Amino acid sequence: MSNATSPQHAWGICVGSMYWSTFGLPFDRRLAPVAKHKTTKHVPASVLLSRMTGEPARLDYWSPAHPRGSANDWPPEAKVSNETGGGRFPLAAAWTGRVEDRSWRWQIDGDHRVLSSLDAIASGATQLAKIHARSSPSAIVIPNDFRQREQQRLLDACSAMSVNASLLWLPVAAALAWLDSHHETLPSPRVDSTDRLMLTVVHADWGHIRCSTLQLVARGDENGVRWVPARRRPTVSDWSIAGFGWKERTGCHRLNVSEMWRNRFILANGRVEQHASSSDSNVLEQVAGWPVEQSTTQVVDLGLAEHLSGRPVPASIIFVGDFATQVSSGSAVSRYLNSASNFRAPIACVVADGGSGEDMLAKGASIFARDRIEGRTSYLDTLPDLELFVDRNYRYDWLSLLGDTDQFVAGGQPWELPDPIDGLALRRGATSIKLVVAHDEYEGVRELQVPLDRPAEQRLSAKLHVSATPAQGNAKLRLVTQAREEIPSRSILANWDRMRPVLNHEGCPVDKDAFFKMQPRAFPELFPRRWSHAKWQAALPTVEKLSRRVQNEDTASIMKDAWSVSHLKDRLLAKDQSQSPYDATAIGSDFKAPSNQPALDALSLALLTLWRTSRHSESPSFTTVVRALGYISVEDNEFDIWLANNLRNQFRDRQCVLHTCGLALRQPANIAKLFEFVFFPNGGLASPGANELKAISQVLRYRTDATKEISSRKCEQVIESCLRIFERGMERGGGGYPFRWASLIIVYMLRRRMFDLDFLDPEQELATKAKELFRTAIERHKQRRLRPMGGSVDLPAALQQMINYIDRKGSGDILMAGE
Amino acid sequence: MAETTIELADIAPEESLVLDALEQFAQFVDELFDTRHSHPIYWEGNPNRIAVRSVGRIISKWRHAVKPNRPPSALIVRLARRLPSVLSDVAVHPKRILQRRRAMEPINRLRELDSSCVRWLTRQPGNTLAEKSGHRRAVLAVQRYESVDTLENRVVLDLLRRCSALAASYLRQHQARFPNHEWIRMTADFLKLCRRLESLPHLREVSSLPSLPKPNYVLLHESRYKQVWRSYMEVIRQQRRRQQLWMWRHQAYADMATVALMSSASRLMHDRDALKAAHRFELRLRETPLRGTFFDWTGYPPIWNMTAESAFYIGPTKSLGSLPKTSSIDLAGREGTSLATWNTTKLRASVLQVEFADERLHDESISDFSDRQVAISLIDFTRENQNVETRHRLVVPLALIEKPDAFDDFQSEWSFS
Repeated sequence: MSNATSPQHAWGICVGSMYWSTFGLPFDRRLAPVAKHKTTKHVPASVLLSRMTGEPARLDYWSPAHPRGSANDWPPEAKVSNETGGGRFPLAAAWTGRVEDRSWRWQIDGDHRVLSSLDAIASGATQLAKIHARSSPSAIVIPNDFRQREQQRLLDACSAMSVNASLLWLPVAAALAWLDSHHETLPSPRVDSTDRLMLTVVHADWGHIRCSTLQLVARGDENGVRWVPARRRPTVSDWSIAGFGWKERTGCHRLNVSEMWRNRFILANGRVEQHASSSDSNVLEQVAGWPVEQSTTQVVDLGLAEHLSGRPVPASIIFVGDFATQVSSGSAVSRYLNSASNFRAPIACVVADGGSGEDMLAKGASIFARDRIEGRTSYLDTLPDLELFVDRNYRYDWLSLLGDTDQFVAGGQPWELPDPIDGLALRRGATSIKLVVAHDEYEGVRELQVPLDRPAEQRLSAKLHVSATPAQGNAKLRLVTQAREEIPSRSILANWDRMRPVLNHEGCPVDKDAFFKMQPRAFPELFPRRWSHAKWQAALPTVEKLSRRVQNEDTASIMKDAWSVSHLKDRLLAKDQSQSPYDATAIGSDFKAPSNQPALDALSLALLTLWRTSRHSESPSFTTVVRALGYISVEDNEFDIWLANNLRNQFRDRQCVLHTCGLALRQPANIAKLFEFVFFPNGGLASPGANELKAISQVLRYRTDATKEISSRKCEQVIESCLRIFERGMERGGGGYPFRWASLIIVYMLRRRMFDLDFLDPEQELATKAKELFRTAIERHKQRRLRPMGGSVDLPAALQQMINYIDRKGSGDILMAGE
Repeated sequence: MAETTIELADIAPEESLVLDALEQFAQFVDELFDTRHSHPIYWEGNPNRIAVRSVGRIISKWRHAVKPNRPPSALIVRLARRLPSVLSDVAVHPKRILQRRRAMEPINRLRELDSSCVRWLTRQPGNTLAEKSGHRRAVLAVQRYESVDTLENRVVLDLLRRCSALAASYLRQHQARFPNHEWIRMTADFLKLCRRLESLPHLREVSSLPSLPKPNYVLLHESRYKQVWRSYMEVIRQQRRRQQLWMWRHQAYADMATVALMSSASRLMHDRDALKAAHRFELRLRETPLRGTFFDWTGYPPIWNMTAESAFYIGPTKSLGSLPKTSSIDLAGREGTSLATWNTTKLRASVLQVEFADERLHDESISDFSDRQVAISLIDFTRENQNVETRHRLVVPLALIEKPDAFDDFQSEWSFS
């Protein structure tokens, strides 16, 4: 034991279902490693549930076993049955129950004791590490799907017992042990090599079979270049299926459950069944009431062979776990191995079942523990998918914090976001900070409300620092506010334990998109025109025909064929009524086709060619071409400028240019010209007509930066003008397009708040007047003195929504926006 | 809780061999309670003031509880080790408080008046202070003086007296056998110190404690008095326990016999695996006995599989009903501690009764053992012997802890070996 407790070793700890192993690798290369594993002096490891308050959950793996939950006749606490459960939670059951967060129950002394699978694993692994590694550096092997909160729970348990442990993925542990003894079989690693060697690890344990594929990457350090395993997120590289083990050879029932329990978990020389059976009842279901999904060996064999054949041929396949031999010897898997070997060099297959598998994993973990202390990178890893909800002046977004699946980072070493996320701010008067994150391991988004010790006196900018260590628990989110004058900087660290799932009114978790929509908004989101697949398919022959004609024919002759250009325009403007209330035509307002984008690009080129060659002529088809360019919302700077410059040209079809401006204008400066033309034609405020209002409302709905180049003062004047139109419409009993477009312009002008946060303060006179007007309209609608607009718009709801937006409490798409 | 009336015979005597033996056992439990070994196989802890200890540990401790070359460890020995400097300090430099009282004070020394003094003064004849002070030239005034008669000093004084009694008792028991042992000398010195401090002149004004006080801030937080209070509570608990042990002496002795019988069973077992399995059982010990028993029997003791066919069990009588193969036992109205032994064909179950030497005076049939011995009767209550009272009787040393193998012969005879 003196060697075992020596701080000169780095320890690998592997707690499997029926076996365990610890491996101590000396820092001094001249010393021999130390290994301990399950022998005939041990029983399968279990955790004893606490019977008294204050008694900890205890690891028990010595023979003879502790009487609790031993299924012996004496004492009463030894009893194991369906009614009382059992005071002994075998780790094999805990690993199976962990996947679905199941808890073990035990009825004793008239009370119910409960222990979650995760707590049992954390307790068992920590105690094993404490016994063997003491305070020496150690690494505990965890399955490849071990979630972040599970990692943190295990690390917290280690910390509470002063165990100096880190965690290591099981496939990586297997790969490190394999590389340690088989690296000569691989080609010499070169840093600039493009070779992509793969390594497959199959973990066949009780209840589950998991297959993970690792990439081997050449990595250089001061000791030369070597192969290191690289792991991607399990969603990308993992395959799993319900395994076997829990099904009994003979049916398990009330009378024989104690005997089966003793044979499996209490006797030191208890035999582990290596063959699945057809019996439906099993000891786990009898004692814990857990239904355990199990597969037949044939299903596992076929499934695994199919998965392997769909992946690149690996350098080796490592089978570990209590059922490794059984899985590796399946007929389909054997066929795959033979065929893959024929295809290229033979696959070096390693089968390490039972205790030898745990030994292999513990050895790999000890290599990692030693490398970690010595500052060497053992493997590469990817970080979990973590997104933060950010609110930048009421512009909401989900920000990815830890990179994507292709971004490898050094395994086991802290990683920090190179540039902290800036542009965040604490609003003036805020009493708390809310962090909302979406993590791929959680069903919905989670939020954390951190109360401030005192309200923020001023608007303070803040930066978010993000750091994480792969496989070592929670990512660390630290919000640091900027120090300003007498206000000191504050640092707020997110505590994951205090994070709560965001629930909707039905108590269900809210996902990212739903949360996005739930946010109170100071201005509405864009309401773009959608593309319609059906209308695009209908227009496509005409589109292709015109594109061909422009390439092959003289443009003058095409312009003379007014019918064909007009036919194209009609095809493009046709609305898809099936998408009501959304406005949908063949091409969306973002100049995107539902399919065959090259055809659209060719069409835009053709139309622009026609427009360029005939813009100085007096061809009657010219306005049709311009309108067609508008219906595809073409993105062309020259055309954009031409539209803005020709708004005042009386020789052109003024309505055509105006209409196309609404559909296609993009540049903020040109949009500002449109506003000038519509609302301030001669320097003073004008009252525009329906078509002008429609163009303005479209450009506001379609373009993000529409109000960027318009001053806040002018925006207020626009709102004032629209309010007058609204009021006149209301006096006449509502209805009519000017009433509708004016309403839309008022609410979409709030998008100016993107650029001027104080624009149209809810308490401002103009805002109060607008809200009063909308409330009057709601009242009149109730009194049936105001007719609803055409369509199915709920007018009171639409007006209330506009009031909410003015008050910075808006939500959802503008109800009135559907054309 | 039912109110119990303490009769005169139930008051613990100052000197008693029975109490001495039981105190030794209580000290044994105390030591188990206070020492928690960290061992990966045997978890030990004191959740809810109940000590969870393995049977293996208890038996090992029992076998080595008494050493021939030293007196037993006791609370007074621990106090004698840690208290002298603190007690000397607080007794020589006790905490003082400034108190005030009203008394006639010559007017030239007048310092302070309160409302009562002013009222008194206004009632006096005369116009000036000199006239009001009368011929004695004194008025009622507030006097300030230092006093050591505080709650914490009363506790110190009471602790000194109780320590004196405890030390005297310990020396009476063990000084003759181990006159030169360090613990005896230390206790004797401590006794002398306590008596000297008790008689310090400035402590004479400290009054006695009428009952157990509620600790004040000084007793709970001042560094010296905090130690005094902790020690005082230990002494109080021990003296209360002494009273309880006396009241429930039969049950307390049965506990001691239980440990001794388990120790004998362990010694006589040959199957190593069965022995290890029995040693992994856990017993729960209370810090203070409840109705005389230190054991919390929610956790039952092991069955000792003496041979492949025979087994032995000792534990609370109520647990016998749950034992395998004990269906023929009638437990109606039975309490206390019982033994059972069985093999494939026979079962014997008996309740354990303890008879002390002072009780034999009332029953002349029991007169064959001395004051330093105790008679243990095993009364069979298996159904087949229900009509005939079968009593098995053996005499063992009163100080059972000093002879841990006292039951070995009985065990080998009584179990179906």
